[in-house]
Amino acid sequence: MTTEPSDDRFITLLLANQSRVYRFLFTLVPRREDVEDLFQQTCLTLWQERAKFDPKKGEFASWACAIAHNNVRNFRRRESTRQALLSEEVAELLLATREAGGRFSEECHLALQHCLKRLPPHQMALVEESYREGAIKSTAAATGRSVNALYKSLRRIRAILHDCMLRVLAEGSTS
Amino acid sequence: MNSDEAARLRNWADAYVEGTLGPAERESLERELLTSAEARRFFLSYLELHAGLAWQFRGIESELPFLREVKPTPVSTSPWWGWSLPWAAAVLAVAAVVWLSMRGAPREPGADSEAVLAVVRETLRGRWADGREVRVSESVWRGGWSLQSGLILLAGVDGVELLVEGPAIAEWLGAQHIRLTSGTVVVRMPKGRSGFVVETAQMRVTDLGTEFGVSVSPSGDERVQVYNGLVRTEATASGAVQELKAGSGLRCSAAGELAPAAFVEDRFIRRMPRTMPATPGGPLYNRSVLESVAVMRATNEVSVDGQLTEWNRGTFFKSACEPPYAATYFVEGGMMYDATHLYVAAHVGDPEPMRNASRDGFQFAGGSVIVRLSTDRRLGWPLKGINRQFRPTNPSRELVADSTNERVKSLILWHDAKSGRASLDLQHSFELEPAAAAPAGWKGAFQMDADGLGYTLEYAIPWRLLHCESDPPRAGDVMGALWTVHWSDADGRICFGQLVDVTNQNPPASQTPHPPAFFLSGPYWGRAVFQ
Repeated sequence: MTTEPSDDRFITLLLANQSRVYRFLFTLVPRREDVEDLFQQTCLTLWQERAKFDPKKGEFASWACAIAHNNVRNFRRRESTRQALLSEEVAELLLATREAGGRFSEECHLALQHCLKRLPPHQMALVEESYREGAIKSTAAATGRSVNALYKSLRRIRAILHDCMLRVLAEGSTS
Repeated sequence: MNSDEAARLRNWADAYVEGTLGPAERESLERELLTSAEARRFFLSYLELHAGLAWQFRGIESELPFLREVKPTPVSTSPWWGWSLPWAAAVLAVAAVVWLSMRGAPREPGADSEAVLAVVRETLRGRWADGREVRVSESVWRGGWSLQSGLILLAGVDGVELLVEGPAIAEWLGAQHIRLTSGTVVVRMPKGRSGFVVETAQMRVTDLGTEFGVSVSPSGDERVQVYNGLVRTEATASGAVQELKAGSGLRCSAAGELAPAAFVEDRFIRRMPRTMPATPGGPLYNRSVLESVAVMRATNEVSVDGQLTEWNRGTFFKSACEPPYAATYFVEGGMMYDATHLYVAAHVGDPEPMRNASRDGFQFAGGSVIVRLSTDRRLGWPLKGINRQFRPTNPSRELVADSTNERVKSLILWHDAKSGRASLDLQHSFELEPAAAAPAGWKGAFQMDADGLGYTLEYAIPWRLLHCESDPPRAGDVMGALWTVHWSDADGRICFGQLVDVTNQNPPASQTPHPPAFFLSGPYWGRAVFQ
């Protein structure tokens, strides 16, 4: 068996794990635009470095997230004056907590899917419209509501979803 | 952490993700995160929520990052850097397009991603049961999922390709193992590989290096058909084993009896169509807001010709798919009755009208209207009966009686494109048992809209066929009812979407099925009010 994955297998792994990489980046960088840029850079790096991926040494997701982390470190150096980022010490501590939680990220993901199914259609529609890339202003314009009012509604829905997620995580079930 | 602390932390998290966190708040947030593991977990779960939503609702066009322009990153001043990124992006784009359109699934088993067992490789108007559009490259995780409509191609990490036709309910149990509860799937293994298992309620189908289709109808009828290679089928109840070769088929009844079945090439969709229809369309899906339909007394003899001259269209209900498709995909429906017949009329907005290819067992998928109606006033409203797959383990005798009452009818109405005639299929009870013989004595007619973007249907169905000729519904009766419309592709084969309406607007608070499954659960049916 070859240790170098074929390109099609590599793309399958990348497609299967891109959601994890994207969510990992959000743990370290809050702004959507920054995450999108870092995500693109990370995917490109992964492709360029694909020959170095060895399935025997660990999971694809771990390898991909390590590369994403390096990109975030570079980003942090470039964006050191940006006030939006948490300190490196806090960021590293958050990552350590995330990793110590084992499948914490996956369990959160499953819990969110479970909770989204229970969201009333009108709230689901607002979340969907607001989270489409760069759509919050256009959503506000289309619905005749102010951006502030939209953010307020969105906060309320996120709180509902978050409460639901915490409940599911505590119960350890998404059935 | 008490509720005040949680609310404060959540406020900071909101401000953090929205980019409005002030310096003093950031300092407080960081202090909290540095000193409390509980706060870190709380904060992280909130970031996971935000990230999950951002991922889930990204636009389709941004799904594959290598298909987008990659912004140069100012880490190097080398002139090669500015050139190499677009070049690499182009290579990636070519690789991705080639892989997505031409290459088979990967050949080597996945050594990781134990929870993600497949990705969506292609979708033709696929929509999950909760209404979300299926997206290319979306991960499919271990566990259950339900496809409302459309056709999706899944690539398993272990090499298998699954073409799934909605509506379907399935569960990934492992890289080489799915359970199919209802719907159809065609399994294709890469050359030299075998061992994929499709498990159903009555069978275990194991591939021995092949391409095969498996279907499970809502009534529990199961079929296997082999296109290439060999499969091994094992009846769960009896343990009887059969090997099927290419060109053969097998049927397993709800009672678990295996029997040879005719091989019908067209029974399963084996390939993703390469061209999309030019007509407007998209994910078809509605939010039901109607609870009742008026069934008017027919005062004159009804001439079944699709002209609806005897009908008062003012009594029709109208329901439409969600914008922007509401103007294209809609139904205006009406019902009438007299002492001998039930009459059904509908005008359906459909850019591919009257194309139904009448695929055996999947007539509904090619474009149809399904009217479900209880004709037994003793069942009252809301109905209580439910299909066996949703009944409790030890159902009461009353619940079983309601669920198997043969006066609960499903009327499947469609236009057969081959013969050019109206067609009718009848199913009984919540078990959707087929009629013993082809129904006779009914009349039906279809008329296409002048602009070719819809059709009108008109049916007269004797109460005799609905098992109530001696006691037909009368004025004042309120019966359970449900309307469903299906739209198809241009070939009248694949279900592109559906609309479900006339539903109980205050359904039971317990586990709510998605609208596509309402037909299996009486408490979610709306009312037919006989005038």
